[in-house]
Amino acid sequence: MRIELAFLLELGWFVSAVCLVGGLRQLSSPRVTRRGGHLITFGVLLAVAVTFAHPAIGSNLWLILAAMLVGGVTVLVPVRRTAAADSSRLIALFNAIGGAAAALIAAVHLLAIPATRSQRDALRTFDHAFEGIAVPLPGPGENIASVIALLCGSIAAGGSAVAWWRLSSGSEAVRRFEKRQTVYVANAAVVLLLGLVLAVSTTAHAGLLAIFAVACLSFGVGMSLPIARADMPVLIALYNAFAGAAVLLDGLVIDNPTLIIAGSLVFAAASLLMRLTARSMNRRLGDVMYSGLGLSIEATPERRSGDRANPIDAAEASIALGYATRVLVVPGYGMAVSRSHRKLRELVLLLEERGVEVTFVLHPVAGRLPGHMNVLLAEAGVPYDRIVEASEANADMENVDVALVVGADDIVNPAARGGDGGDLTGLAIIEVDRAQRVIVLRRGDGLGHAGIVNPLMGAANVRLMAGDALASVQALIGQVKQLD
Amino acid sequence: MSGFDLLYLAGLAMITGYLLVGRVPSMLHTTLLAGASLVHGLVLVGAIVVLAEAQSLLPRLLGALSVALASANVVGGFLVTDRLLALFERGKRRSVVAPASRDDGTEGDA
Repeated sequence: MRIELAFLLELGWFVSAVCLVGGLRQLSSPRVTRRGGHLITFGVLLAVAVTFAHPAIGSNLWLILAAMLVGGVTVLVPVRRTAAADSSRLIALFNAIGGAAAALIAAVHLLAIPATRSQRDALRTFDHAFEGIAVPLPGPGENIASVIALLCGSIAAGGSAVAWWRLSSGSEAVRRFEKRQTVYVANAAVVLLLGLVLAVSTTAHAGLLAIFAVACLSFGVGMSLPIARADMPVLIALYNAFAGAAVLLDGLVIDNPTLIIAGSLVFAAASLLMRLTARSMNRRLGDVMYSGLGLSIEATPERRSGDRANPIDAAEASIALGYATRVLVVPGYGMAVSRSHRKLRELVLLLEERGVEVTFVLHPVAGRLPGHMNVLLAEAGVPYDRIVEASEANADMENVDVALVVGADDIVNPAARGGDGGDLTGLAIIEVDRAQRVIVLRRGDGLGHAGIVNPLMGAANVRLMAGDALASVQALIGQVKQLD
Repeated sequence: MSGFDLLYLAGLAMITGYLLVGRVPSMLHTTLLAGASLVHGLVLVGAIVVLAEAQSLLPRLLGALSVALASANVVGGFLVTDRLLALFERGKRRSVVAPASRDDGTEGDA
């Protein structure tokens, strides 16, 4: 009976691992299907279900079920409260939660030295379990893996939590304080020292462990506080990789192949995603990570982008749009913030009824996460064939009558082409300045996230419609309806 | 499994991960990140095993917290990923139905 249960357990875990790989494969194909997501979910649920066949499960069964119920139900609150368009920040949140869970596993493991370890080793896998052979302690390897797992999980938890908070509070502020390098180095030293102590120790130290966990968490927090919001996409992928590494190490520690496979997949996929994202933003990874540690505390720039912009009102803008032949819409983060994507779609439908050819152009890094704009436009029901890539739009820019920039700045900043574009230099922008006319909807006259003055605002063919994008788009809809 | 078997497994799974994500268009990055955070929801298995083996109060407490967090990760990860994928699916379906209002017919890609 025991053997059959154990067989079921291993078989279930194996099938689950295959499902995870297959599901990720489907998610990576351009013909994105929900099947991929469902396959991964099936894999995870199957692995969880068969885990209840684990020989040790009996003793804490009710505690396990209660904890699962509490966690699974509580999480519905933030999910319900967040609109689908803001899913990016939920990804950061669940990343934090998963990282914390992985860190706790490592912590429990370190606490269990050596009291329960031999018992646990006996129960670890079915072959040991039914042969009844207690496996000798495998030396310090497990301890080191647990310590690193705790470190990675805590960094993922602390860092992702900051990313989540930054994305949901809308705070643009980059937290940089004086002497932050000293604090950072001290923090790293504490982490390193305690990590070494815990790794070589043969007895459990709950107090040291707690201090170590807190130090790791604050290391993760400190890591992401000084990083600009524009770089958040890279950061979220990085913490995803950290969480993956923590799961992988947990798998090594508790000797569970499924955990190892899942952790390795996430680690590899997320670190590659991080590199791809950084490349599409034309940022070197090192620059992103160390930007927060720079020697000088940059003075807040007093420069403003909108100083020289020529204003335009809704009536005039609607005429320019309504009588154009070709309009190019360039959405940016401002569209996401103002939640104007559905209204924008409505405006575009009105324009199309008038025979205007409207195309959306998506910059790979528009918004807060790569693909952020795709999600919003998909939610608004914009068909894929109306969405072009930046290079495609640039090739045909002279034939665009009106480029409508909705809450985008850096990705249309011509300074990126010159030598003085700061962080933007070399970023492949959408060259709306070459369109016949440009109408920019933006809230203020401040700077984009890269903090570079946008010379576009002073150009002769560019008009600025100041105000919240949602209000501006609504005003445009009203005006376009009145055109004959 | 011995330590080295597990390391082989980790190495091969990492290579698989790299190959899977290798050439993904940037529009899919968000859904992939969501999918990846759903995958590491599998940490729930580890959390259950650890809690099952916990003997004293503190490990039980931490283990239960870990199980709760990991369950939240699974449930939330599923809801977010599915919602994102549903958006894409809807966008795709509409694009099949809707291009009627466009009259130049230059884009007959699919």
